[in-house]
Amino acid sequence: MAPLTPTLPSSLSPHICIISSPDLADLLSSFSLPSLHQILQSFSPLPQVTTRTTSLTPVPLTSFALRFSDLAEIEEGCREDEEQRAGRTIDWISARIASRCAKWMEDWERIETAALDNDKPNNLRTPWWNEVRQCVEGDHIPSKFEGWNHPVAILLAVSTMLPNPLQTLAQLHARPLDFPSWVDSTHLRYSLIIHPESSPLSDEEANALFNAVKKQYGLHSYLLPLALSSPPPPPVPVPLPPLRLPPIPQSTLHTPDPSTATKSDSVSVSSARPEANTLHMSEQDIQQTAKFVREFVSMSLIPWMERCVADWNENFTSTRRLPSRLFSSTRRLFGSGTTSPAPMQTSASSISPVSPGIRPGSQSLIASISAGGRPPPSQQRRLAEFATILGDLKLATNVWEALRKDGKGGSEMLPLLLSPSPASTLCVTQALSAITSSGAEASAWAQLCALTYAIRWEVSIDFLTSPLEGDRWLVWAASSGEEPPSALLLAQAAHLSSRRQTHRRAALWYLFAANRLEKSGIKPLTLYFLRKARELYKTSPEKSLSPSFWDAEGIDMQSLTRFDGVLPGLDYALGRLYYTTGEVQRAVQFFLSLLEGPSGPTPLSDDAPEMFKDLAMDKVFLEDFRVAFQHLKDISGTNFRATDLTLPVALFNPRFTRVRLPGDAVGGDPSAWRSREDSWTSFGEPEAQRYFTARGRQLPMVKAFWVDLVVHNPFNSEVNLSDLTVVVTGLLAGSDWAPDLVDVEVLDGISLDPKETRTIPLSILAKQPMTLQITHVSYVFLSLLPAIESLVSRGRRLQDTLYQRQNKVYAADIVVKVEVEDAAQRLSAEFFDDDRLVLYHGECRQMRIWLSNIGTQAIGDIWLVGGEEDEFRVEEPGDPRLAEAPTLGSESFNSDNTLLPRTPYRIALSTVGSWSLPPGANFEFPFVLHANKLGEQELCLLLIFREGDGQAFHCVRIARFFEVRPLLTATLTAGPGKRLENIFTATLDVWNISPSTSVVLSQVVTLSPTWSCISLTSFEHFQLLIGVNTREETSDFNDTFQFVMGKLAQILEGRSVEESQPPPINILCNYINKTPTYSIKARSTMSLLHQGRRNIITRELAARHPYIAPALHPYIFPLYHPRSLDVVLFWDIPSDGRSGHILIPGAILGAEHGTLNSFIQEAEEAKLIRSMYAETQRERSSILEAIRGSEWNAESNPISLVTVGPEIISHNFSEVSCHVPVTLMLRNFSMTHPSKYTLKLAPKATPEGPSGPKDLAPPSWIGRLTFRGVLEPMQHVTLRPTLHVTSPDTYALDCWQLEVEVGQRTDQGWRTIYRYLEKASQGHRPCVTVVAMAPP
Amino acid sequence: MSHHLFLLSPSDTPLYSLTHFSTKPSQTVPSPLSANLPSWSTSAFAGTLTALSGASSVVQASTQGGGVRMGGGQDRHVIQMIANASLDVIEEVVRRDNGMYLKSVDKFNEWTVSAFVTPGNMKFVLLHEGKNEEGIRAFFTEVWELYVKVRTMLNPFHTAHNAIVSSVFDGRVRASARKYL
Repeated sequence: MAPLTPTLPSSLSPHICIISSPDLADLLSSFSLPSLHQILQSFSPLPQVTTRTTSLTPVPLTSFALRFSDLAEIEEGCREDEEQRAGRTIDWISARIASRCAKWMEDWERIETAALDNDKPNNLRTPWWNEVRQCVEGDHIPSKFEGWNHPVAILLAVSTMLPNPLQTLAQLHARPLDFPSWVDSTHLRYSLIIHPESSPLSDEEANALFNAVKKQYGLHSYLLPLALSSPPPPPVPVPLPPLRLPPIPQSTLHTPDPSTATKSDSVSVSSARPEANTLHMSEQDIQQTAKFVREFVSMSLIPWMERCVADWNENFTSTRRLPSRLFSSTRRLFGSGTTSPAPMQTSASSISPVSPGIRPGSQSLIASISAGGRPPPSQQRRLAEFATILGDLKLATNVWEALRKDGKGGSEMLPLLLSPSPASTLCVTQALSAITSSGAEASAWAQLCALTYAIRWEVSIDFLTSPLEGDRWLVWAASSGEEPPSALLLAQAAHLSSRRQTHRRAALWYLFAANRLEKSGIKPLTLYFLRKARELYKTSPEKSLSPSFWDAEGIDMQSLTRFDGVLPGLDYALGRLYYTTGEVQRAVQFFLSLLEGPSGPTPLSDDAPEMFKDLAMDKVFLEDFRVAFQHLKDISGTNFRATDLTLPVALFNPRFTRVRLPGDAVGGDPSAWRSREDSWTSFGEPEAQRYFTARGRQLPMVKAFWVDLVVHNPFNSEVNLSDLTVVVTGLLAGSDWAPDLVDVEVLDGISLDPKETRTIPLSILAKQPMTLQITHVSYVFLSLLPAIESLVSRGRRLQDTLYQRQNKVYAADIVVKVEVEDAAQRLSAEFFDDDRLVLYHGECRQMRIWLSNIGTQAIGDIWLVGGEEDEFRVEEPGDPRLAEAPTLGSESFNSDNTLLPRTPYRIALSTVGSWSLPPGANFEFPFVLHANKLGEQELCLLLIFREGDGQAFHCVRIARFFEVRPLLTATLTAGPGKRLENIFTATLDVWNISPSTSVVLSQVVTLSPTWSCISLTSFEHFQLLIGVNTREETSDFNDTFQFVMGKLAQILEGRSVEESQPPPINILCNYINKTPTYSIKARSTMSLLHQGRRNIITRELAARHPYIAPALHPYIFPLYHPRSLDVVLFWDIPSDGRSGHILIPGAILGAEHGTLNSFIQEAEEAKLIRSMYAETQRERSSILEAIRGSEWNAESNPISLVTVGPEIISHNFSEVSCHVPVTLMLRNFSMTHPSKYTLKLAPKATPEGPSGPKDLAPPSWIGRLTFRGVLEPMQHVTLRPTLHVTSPDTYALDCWQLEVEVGQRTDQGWRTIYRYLEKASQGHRPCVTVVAMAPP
Repeated sequence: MSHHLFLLSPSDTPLYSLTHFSTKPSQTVPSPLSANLPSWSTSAFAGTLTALSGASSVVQASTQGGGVRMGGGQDRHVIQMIANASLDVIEEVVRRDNGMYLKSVDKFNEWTVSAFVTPGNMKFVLLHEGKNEEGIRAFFTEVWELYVKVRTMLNPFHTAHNAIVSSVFDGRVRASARKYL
């Protein structure tokens, strides 16, 4: 269904050509009036015109446009080649746009800003599109392919100024129309007589003349009386005349040169076009003229056109009837030419009131027009056009549709008349493909034609409300045209798209438009389009996504990552255009924004042609930025300020910025230094904590320190930085900060390779004590752009409170701080020798540290802080290492039995003869280093010093590398004593594992709180047997056991452990060899042994009880287990003068009875506090298991049986059978509990008896086979069963079974705690050999 | 003939992109409008400013393109703009089409845009020059499967905001492109 009132573009209106007599032209110009067609054009469009359809239905038209033009002009225009004219038109439009766009841009930007300020959408048409539209709409030269511009009426105008107007009119009527053959000759002839007041003819004469004219030329005549007063009346504003392509200059008619023509045209047009059009006509004349125009239209033109339509419609319907269509189809099938309606000449002659002399073809006088012979537009087409003009849309649609089906055009008009549907889009593509497929590939005519169609669609259809995608139509129409009109078509498409809220598509089309327009050099508009593309690209459309989509990942909705190449691409184009248009400042800003660096993901692989990989661009961007910035500097001269230009990318990483103090260079692992600082901080000295708790790094101000800046080049190109320095601020006590108080190094010419990361040290020297804050780094990027970056990094994320966990809360920013102190207190510390230090395992090496006070004040106190595992001892006066060993072979000492680490050692200054170290004084102090671990190691010592009580602490570091090589390896094994006099027997095995060194084992010492040891053999074959007994003055160590039990019970119950230390313990030292040389009680040795055992126990505990905090170990476990036995092996290498000792931790001897079992059981049976974390449960059970398996909860059979003898017996079997008494010893190894025993001797070896060498004969016991008794703690009993031997053999003595009941005596009697059943072990089988003795 | 694949998150963040140069003979789109269109020339944007300004002291950049050339003579940013512009149509098509494979949703000059939208609202956008509907359907389906299986959906550390940097995913998508495109 056709729309009711389609808005047709003004170019689709009747075209009336005017030919006026020369006197009329003179008359009008004498009254300052334009030519007649211009005057009449001012009255177009006519309001409220009613037409009638073929079915005589009135069609009220609100406006009816008319186009008046000079006949001569049209005739001239028709002669020009159509392609040439199209080319000229495009050039003319381009030139107009180019000359005006700068002004438009100014106005338009103002309008847009105003719209933005008022928050209203800017719905105005863009001026450049208006211009294109008017230029195209203004075309009035008839075309070969459509009839819109073909004249509908010829208006012959004369004035009554001449003596014989009738004759003049006759001459005009007789004038042949100089149209080519293809111009439709069907038109209305209309005579107009203008009768001015100044005419020599009176009104009556004029009326007589009019009557004569009517009589001669028919009713299509009019007498227009005009006052034409002189002087001319004030001007009346009238609509602007349509824009017309300037005629081709005569000189270039045959040799067209579009460029020059365009140039002159553009200049003339741009200068000639007035801003507002006016007409010097009086009101009366205006009314008269308006009356004429209305009468001409309503009385002549429209009736004439209606009649044409009626007649042509008859022809049309007759051809469309079924037989006719069949006939025509048959004709087409059989190859005959296309059917055409009846020749219009006949109908024209019948319609046109005048016919002589205007036959088409006969007037084709100009040979240069090559289109001779081409027929005028078909009658059907004219019918469609007339019907469209007259508003008979039903008919028009039918005829256009018929034309389209016949392939004779019409598809471009249907979208205007049809209601929006997919068919419209189909018509559009058909119309556009008809242009391009007509053989004129991308010709100027095709471009212009497509442009014309696009403008008709754009004017007639409201694409914003229509469901049709009109923006796409414009893009199709723009096709591949490279000219500005095509670019503006794209721009209009983009404009429509953006108003239809499809911003992303609009951005693309703006970019395409800019790309095309750029080639024509119209830079202001190109820039605007690029800016629009950028702006629209950056507007992200609203997404209907859940807020959780962002919240779930904690991502800000605004921080969207977009396509990484788009903005740089647009910015680069903008920058270059601004640069070429001279706006260097803006160009530099755009180039600068390109240096943001890659924000996208890292490339996947090197060989991939990946989108994210953009290797070449950085170099180009940097190069262009450099050139543009240099140029900006050059042209700005002294006024240049780069304050508003900031580098968008940060090169320095503040998180990795570090301060390096001169003392840091001594070596050592930072964590080692930190642990020493921590141990100093935890040192009980009241003021000691002040030094490291603030974590401020202090250094004397006479020394420079370094700031290590980590710089990363994000670009794929080399960049250089100059004037690199840091910005520091200082806090001074009592005075103001001034920059000259600090000397900061400035570095020049730093060149960074592509993607390089480098650490750059900058030295800083403070001249006064102060707290320095290093806040910023400043540099000059590419030696051009000054840049400054903050070195403050964000604090850690806080998770302490609920609020902090639910929100993002960060700790205070981290600023790099350095405390510079007065240089009055300085200490220099060095090791005495710098040689490479190679030690053997266990070696004690005496070393010396040389201290010198290089400050200006005395030093009163010096502490030495070492690592927890370092074994060293500062030698004090009267502290001989080689103390004389006691002659009795044993001595004892008291140990505090604590695992607490060594406290910082205060160095006694008494050696220098005074209580303090004065400035310039120096001294050295010796210490003994014990090499306890193998491999490369570093001894890191911290020396803390101060002037005196209440003074500030200072620190100096000292470190020394040394290597420890293996020398000896030794093992200690212990078992029940084989003899009556020894409870246990321990075996010490020693191997020398050094390749070439011979070692003298000088002394073996055992250490034990409980056990006393003696040597059973001499040191032979590197094996030493040691007999172990209880010491005489032994105690039960109940306090130590109670201490550990109490602490472990606290752990099991989940209580916090009290910080109390174990009770002291007395240690017995037994010197195994006869001539002892070193005394254990020498303070140095004792201290080193203490440290050594502490290290061993600490490591064992850490491995065994991983879930108990190491810091708690000293408050739970003692250093010595009361039942432990250690061996210290002293060695000497006399050739090298080396000596040392190895501590061999031995086994824990004696039987225990699971003293902690009751606690463990309680803990297991206690109602478990269920934890929601399985890890907690596992941790608890691990703690329990670790305690259950620890040496403090050992549980074993206390009684063991030892076969004492005899081993070989000789007997004369010829006399009597042999009875061998065998001595068996049962010993209760428990030191606390008595035990009952039952020993059963098997008379014969049972089959399930111990397997062993099968050659041993089974014993045969006689007499008492079961022995019962009670053994008190550490008591032993000797049993003597008898073996009956009948023949010489070797008899096994392991056929027994021992039942043991560990118990305790209570008031109620005996209470058994544990029961054990023991059989002979399978290893060593005791036996007795009976040898037959020959009878005497 | 080149293909450009983009994987876009529901918030239209590009998570992965791939340029594939196919050796298979192209089947040109029989569209009279786009058949005769020349490829875009960006010569106006070529060359460095050094050349424009005539400065001689600065070494001429060796890459005279002002951009990495992609398939069809397009600049990288133009290709990305086309993919971005097609999202308008994709969103429109998704509203009325329930299928995942949306076939050819748009045409921009010589580029045809095919799209695939997963149930999780991930958009797979493919810019291609020829017509290969079934091949593209198979390719998209395989990419979807890879997206779900290989590294992304089954990877607990992947979110819809992170770019896909898995080399396994990349390798398999390339293999799939070689197979179908």
